[in-house]
Amino acid sequence: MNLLAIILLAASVNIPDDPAIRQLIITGGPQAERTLLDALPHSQGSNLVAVVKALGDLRSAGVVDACARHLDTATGDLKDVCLYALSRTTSPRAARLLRARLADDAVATAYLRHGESLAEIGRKTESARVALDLLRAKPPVVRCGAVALLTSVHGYAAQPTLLAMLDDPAPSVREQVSRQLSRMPSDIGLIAALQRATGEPRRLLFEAIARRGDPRNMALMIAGLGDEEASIQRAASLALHPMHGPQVDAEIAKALASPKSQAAALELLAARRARSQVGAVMPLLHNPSISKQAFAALGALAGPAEIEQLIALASKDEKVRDDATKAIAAAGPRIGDDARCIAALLKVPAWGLALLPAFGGKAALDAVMAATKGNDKDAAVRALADWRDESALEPLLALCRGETDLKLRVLAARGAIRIVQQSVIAKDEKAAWLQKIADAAPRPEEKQQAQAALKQLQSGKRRK
Amino acid sequence: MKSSFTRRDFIRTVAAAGAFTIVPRHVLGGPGQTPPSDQLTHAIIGCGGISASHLRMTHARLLALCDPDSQRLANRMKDQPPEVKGYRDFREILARSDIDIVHICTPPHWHALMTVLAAEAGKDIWCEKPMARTIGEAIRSRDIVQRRQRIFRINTWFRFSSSLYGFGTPAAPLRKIVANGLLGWPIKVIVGAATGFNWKLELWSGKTDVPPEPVPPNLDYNLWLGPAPYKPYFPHRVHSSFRGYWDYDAGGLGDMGQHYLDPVQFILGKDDTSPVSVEVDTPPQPADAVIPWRRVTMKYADGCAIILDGDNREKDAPYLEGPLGKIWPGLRSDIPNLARKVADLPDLPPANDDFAKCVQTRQPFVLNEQNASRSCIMVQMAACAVKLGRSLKFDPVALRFIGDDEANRLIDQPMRSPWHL
Repeated sequence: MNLLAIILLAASVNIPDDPAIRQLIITGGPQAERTLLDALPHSQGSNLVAVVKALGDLRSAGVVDACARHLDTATGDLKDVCLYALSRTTSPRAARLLRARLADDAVATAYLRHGESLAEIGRKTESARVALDLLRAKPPVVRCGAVALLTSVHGYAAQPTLLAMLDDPAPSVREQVSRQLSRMPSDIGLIAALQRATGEPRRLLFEAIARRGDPRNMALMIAGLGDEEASIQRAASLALHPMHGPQVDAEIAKALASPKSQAAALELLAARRARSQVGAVMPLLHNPSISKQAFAALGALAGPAEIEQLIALASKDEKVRDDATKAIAAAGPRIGDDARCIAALLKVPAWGLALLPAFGGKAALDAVMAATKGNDKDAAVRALADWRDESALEPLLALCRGETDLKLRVLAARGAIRIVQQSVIAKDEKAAWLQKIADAAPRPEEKQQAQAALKQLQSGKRRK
Repeated sequence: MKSSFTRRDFIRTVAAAGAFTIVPRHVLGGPGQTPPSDQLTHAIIGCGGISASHLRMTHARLLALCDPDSQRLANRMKDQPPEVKGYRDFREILARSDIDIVHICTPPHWHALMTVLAAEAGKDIWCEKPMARTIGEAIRSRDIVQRRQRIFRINTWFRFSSSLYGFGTPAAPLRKIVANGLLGWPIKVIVGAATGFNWKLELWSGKTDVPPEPVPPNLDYNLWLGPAPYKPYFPHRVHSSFRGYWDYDAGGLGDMGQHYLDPVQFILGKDDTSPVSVEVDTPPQPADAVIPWRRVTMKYADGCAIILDGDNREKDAPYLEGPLGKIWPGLRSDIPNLARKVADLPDLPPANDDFAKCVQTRQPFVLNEQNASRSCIMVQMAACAVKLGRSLKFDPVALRFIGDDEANRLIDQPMRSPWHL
């Protein structure tokens, strides 16, 4: 098959595709390249564009002469494919042609790609030369690329050059420098540079060290928790979050001693579920400047013993009751039906009942059901309506049917509908419950709500 | 040194310095409003169905819309303010220095090409899924985005949103369960209708033996095809049915694959790797059109496996299954007190899920070019195996198929001139 003939034919009849060229690109090899190079002098217009582009795909060095002829005069697609072909070939002449025209942003981009092509085949010295040429290029994206390229070929040896670029005027370049510094095989030099740095370079250097996640820098990260700059606090916290072991928790807990780092340390201990440090958190409940955060942390850390203390605090001090309530509600699902917690909550009528759904379990449910017959009936029905699993459905339905107070019947119906909707019981079972609730609901509003839920269930709609 | 300084660079620098006080805000933007000069700006490329959801996004001020179909463009332009300009050729948008972000809402054969060109034009990118149409294009997109320090997000969200598609809970608790060994190891994942994930295979099937038709005057078909091979036009090939053709996407795999497989990568903690094999059960695929497959099984080197259940043969299957337990939709499990155990597990690290903030602070978005390229590679691995109708071995480091030249040719497919990556 004479592929050259096919190419020329394609050009002459203006077929809007280049199947022969596509086949040559797929086949590759010296013969395909030769065929395309032979076609080059006979090609013009869109066919010339297609042939140059194909030679670029094949990384042909033979296309450089043709590109050189067109580079300063071509526009549009031809200029674009010439730059593409020059960026793909590893010919030194291509590098010279591009280097001489770096004032043109498109050429600078092609030169960067040329350097990346050289790096891919291990020609590090030439690739580094390209990167160094472009560190002061006009487009920030090209400088970003040059920073990445220099790091990829010079590794740790690029560190001094990168450190000098932390004052680049473009934030994207500075961020790239920080990211590349974090990827280097060693952080030697970074910590010394951090100690000298101020302002934005300090933040970038800290983030570079933090991203490395090196446990040997734990002390530096813990100090960062108390930094005045929020982004440094965040970087420190992110670095400490995945570090394993109770000794890390103990070190973080030491940061509770400083007002500057207390909030970040509390948040981190909570996120890590550092139960071993709960004793270090409890005293902060009495410090008004940080108690809110300490209560929040206890939502993730408190065990039954601390829950008893929280209940006692909430009973005594109205000022902290809201925060304590939130902490107990958050801790409940984690602790579950613990007898100590349930007994302690039942000692505080109404308020304690409202918190029982967070703990759940049979004992708590029995206690709430019993309370529906006593003085705290209103709170007990509300607690049942807030229950988290299907075990409350039967008593709620009974209230829905037999309760005399309309307000409580409404509460029971709404609570039952919510439980069914959030439940993972089988569809048929859900449908049966919703039908029963619709039948028992005291007002048209709740009947409609149950029927709408039933309809939605039956339509089986799924989210995109 | 002469250095260009983009409008966005200016916004970020001044914002970081706590400035913007030279001209009072109310003078430029009215009381309580963000002045236009303080906002990120964006353009939407592709005016098909999905662009409607991008038009509703409020993280940036819309300045441009683009589509090679003048009718579709006109439909979207109808309700836009005068400052929004319409374009046929997206390269004109990339040439505008006042646009910060481009939303790529085109068919997937354009995704990588536009991502690379946008990145080199200094834009940040919000790209529809799948990230790319081939494995090679996904790798190239990832590399260029990272080397040019662009902010990229893929338009899927199930790893960080409040709901994991039809599963009924977020993905985060599943990640915690797996990471803390509650299911044991290795883990099998079943992604199919029984576990809440519909593959939409019939919907996105292509047609064969369709006679060519004249291209409607409103459509620049050559530009619509772009880097894809030239094929004679017929209406089902383009617009809302393009997914049924291999040149532009991969049927239901292309539409839903990254939505479904990205969370799996996240849940299994495999964002830095890929499966080592893919087995398929499919009827022979036509060269041009995608038709429904039955089953795809992907396996990792450590024994974890993902089953894509295309013909819904798995009834009542768990989504996750390990030696120590199983999890069904809604977090139902045979592990006692699972919810309580999950609540007691450490939180996952906080994620950057505010794209505009990521653009302003130059921090990567939670679903970025790195992890998105891995989940896209999974989609395209499966697509290659389905297209070829045979099982394939894959090297997750070199990102090439092992011992299969034909499959490797699907990794890097030449683009139609003048387009190139």
